[in-house]
Amino acid sequence: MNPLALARLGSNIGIVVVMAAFTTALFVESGKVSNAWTWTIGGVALLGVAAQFIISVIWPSSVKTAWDEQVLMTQRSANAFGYFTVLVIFLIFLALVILDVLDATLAFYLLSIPLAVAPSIWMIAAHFQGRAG
Amino acid sequence: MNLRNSLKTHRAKAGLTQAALAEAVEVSRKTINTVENGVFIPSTVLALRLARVLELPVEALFQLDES
Repeated sequence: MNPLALARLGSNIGIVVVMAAFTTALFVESGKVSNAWTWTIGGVALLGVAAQFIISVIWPSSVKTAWDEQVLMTQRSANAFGYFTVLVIFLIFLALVILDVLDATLAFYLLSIPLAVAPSIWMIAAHFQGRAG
Repeated sequence: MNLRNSLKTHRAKAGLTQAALAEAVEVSRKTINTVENGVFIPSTVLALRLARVLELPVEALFQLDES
């Protein structure tokens, strides 16, 4: 298997797992978010980027096949999926905030979850369907 | 109008595995697999590269299904 595609899959799974943990903590802690989460989420994302960069440098031949035209098309679809998912959730949250059902600060934190997770979920699903490297 | 392809047949005739053909045209093996199964429609550039590696005209690999 292409090492860069494997690192990309690992990065996407990492993002989904850490955001799932963040979501759980958000509900357990009744909407109060510890600053440690900022570093944890950012750290996992940067670790994924660093791993992919290092693998690209060590195995430059893996870059072309890991980012061939099918993967680029899949990534564009993942971005579109993420955009529309967040847009729909934003409109729902906006209505809830206007109706005073949801706190605006909490809505802001909650919106970060689909923003981070939706494209990654699409890429993970595409990987296992053979459409992403 | 659908796109039919006979990539799998011609690849087998040329004695190439999916991995070998993928390496020759610089895409992943999974991309060759999805092209063969009609899941992914390749760009003109990739179609021409495939035709070049298999030493065939591109029309021999990809045809429009008129029905």
